[in-house]
Amino acid sequence: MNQETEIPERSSWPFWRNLGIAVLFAVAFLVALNRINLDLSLLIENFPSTLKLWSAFAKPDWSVFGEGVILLIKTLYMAFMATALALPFAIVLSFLGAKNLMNSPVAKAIYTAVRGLASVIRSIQPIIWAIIFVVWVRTGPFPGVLALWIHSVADMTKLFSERVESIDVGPMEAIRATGAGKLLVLAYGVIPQIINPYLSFTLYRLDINVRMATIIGIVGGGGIGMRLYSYINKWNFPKAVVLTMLIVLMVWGIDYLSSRLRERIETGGGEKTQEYSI
Amino acid sequence: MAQLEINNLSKVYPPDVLALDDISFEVEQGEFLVVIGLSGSGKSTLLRCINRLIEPTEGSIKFEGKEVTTASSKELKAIRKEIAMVFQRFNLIERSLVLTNVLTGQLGELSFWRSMLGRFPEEMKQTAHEKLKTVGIPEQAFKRADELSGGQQQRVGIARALMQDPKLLLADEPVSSLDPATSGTIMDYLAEINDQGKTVITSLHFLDLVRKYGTRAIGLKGGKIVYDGHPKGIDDQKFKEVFGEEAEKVHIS
Amino acid sequence: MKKPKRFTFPDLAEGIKPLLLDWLIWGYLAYTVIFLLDSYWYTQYVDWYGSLTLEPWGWALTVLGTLGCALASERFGISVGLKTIKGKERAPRKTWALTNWGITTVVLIVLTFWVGWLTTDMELGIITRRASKTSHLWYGLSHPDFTHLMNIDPELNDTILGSLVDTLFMAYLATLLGGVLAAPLGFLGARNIMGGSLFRKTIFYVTRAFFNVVRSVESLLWAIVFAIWVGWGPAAGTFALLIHSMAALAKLFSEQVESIKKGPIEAVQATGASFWQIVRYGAVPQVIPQYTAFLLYRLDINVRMATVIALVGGGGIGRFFFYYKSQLDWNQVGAVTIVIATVVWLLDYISGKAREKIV
Repeated sequence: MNQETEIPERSSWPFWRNLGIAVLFAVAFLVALNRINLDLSLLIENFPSTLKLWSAFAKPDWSVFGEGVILLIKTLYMAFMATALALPFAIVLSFLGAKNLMNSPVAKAIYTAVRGLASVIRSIQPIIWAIIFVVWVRTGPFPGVLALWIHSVADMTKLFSERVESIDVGPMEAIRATGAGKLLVLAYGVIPQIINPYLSFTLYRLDINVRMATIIGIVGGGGIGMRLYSYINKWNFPKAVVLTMLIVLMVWGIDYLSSRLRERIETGGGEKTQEYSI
Repeated sequence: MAQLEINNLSKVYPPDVLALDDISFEVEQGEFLVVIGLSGSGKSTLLRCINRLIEPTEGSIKFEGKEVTTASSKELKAIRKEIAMVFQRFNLIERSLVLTNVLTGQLGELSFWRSMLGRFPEEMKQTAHEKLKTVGIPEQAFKRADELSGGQQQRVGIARALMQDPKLLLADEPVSSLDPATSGTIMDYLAEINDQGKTVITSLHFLDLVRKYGTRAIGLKGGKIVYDGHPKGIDDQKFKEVFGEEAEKVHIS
Repeated sequence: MKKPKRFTFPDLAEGIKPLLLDWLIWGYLAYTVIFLLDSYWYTQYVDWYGSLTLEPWGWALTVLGTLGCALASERFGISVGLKTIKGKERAPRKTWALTNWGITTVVLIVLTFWVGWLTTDMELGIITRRASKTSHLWYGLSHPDFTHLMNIDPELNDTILGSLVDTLFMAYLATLLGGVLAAPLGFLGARNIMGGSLFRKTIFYVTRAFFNVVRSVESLLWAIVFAIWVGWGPAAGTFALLIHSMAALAKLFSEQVESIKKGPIEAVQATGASFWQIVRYGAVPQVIPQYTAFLLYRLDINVRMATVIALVGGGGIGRFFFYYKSQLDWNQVGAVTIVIATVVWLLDYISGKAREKIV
């Protein structure tokens, strides 16, 4: 070789680092396997104990169908109410929880409080919140809605404020340069940039809430889960199977609709290429 | 014997799009051959047929006496090692390091297990660093490829091609995604490679670049050769033939 | 040249879609209106359960009436369905809320909110009226009792920290195994790989349907199934998280595979690389970083779920939470809650940072 090329710093350690990480994961895997006692042969050995469950799929009891549909609608309403009620709170809190908007010392304290509280609330599962609210306002859909609501507020606040933090400062500066006040900057510099992501996150959260609403009934939070769980406890699988099928259909449908809508929002509102142009 | 001999080459895309129509020409070692033509005239297809990224429908391609079209997969790999390629959209592995991208040029030399584990020999890495220096970006080696600008990415693409130490370099519209200034630099690198005795076949859009760098030009239109000769020989009349009437004002500068 | 338009079934389906959407909207409108009328005036038609009861002729009338409304709205050019599905003219920007679309959306949201308020028994007064019921809860949270953090609880035969480790291991095993199993399934569910023959397409649709069904059943419900299957304990919880993660990750994986770009593969191919080298250097780097990020995100979700999966016999730290809660031992509940919140928060933070670095 003609001349020595000096190599930028960093030698071949990433390989050893990666190997180290891999070994670490493998060891953790073995320890976990041992501790959890995850025995795959148990799945085969104990299969007969689930026969009663699977055989229920062969002869579902359709008499609960009508009732199941009504429960399904109620569950949907729970998810909708939780999301709709969480939205205004999350919008307001998201501005208070955005680092780039909160500059003065007082504002910084508010920012820390909002984000800290949101993190803590988010860390506790809706199911646990439901337990708390069942104690608080008694069983029924209402505590379920409240549990989903408080978790949604925290989650949406976090997502929304991260979105606000990543906005482009250009438009904000342009508005500020015209001598506009804080509110005008917000209205013309910030909101146009965040409205679509906010909509998209809200739909995403609605999707999660629908999923959660199907199980929150287990602890007394109302909805279809409550009835499903009581059927399972009574080993009434033919009825439980019908409710499960209904849940699958609804969650699937909402997931599909929500992702289609989000796609449309993210691509700037229904620019259907090709499909209809040809 | 010419380095590359192409005889009666045709390519039909199903169902019935004729991209290349009975093309024959020869390329001598050390030529700087420029293929010009409108988009859709078959330039990309022609270049990709040479290393069989696209399977030709009919005809023969001989590279240094070896038949490419009927080569077994082992023979084909050996042929591809001798022929490097540079792409319009750079085609880097965006999430990998620049160095890794350059090193992929030598994959053909590496044993199966070494390549699966990503253990490239030290001297291979040294060579990769040298190639990056050749294209003027030695300091970018440990960045992720997608962090680089378009011009820098194309330099990495060239470094990857150089890594193969090829006898023939195919460059498919290497400057179409770049601004004019960067285009000049990239073309200079190709010319430098050509000066070292390596054959370069490239497709280009701009006539002034064709005239500046090419030692020979082939004009394609509708999959047929409509011009074959020195770039200086392309007068306005010829140019219109290749690019059609309306291209005139856009391309002649 | 224009061929005379022949009638085809897809045409009919395309033509009927807007009408169906309109009908759906009108039908829903009718449902909410009847529901509201019922619940405010004719309460005898809403049974104790909150469901609508209507005479058979009433249903018939509603179905036909809404169909009529849908047809009429298409006739008079105020159809929302036509606009949504055909997506024709984007009108010269009126204020959004004043377009047909806007009005419909607002009306539907308001009505849904109203009906939702009634059907979910919202009663804000209760929150303040019964606030005192939660006092022991807040007291417990502010005076946590960490006795069993490191000391074995004789009833549960474990320590809080021990069960926390279990929880983390459960989530880890589920994510890792689910992630590994998801990859081959993800290939089967990728449109670009499974295109072509009818046989492959069938596999594609079957795989996709399988993901979606498994994904739609929450891991907590899966835990019930596995608790019956392999008995109560962390293994049941792990299996439940595993199967749900596998389906969710397989879907994400197949989307990644679908978005693989051809260029880099061509480039590696052109260097004379072998098939496996092309896969290793051309395809894998396009999929792995994003997939690793998904795995980290999934780990995060699984840890959250693992903290409550004990509710249905899935093991983990939730066992302590639900046991102490049933014993009304609020100080211990407080301690467990604090541990859960801290760990989940920490993991959320770490996984977020790691994801940022990878993608």
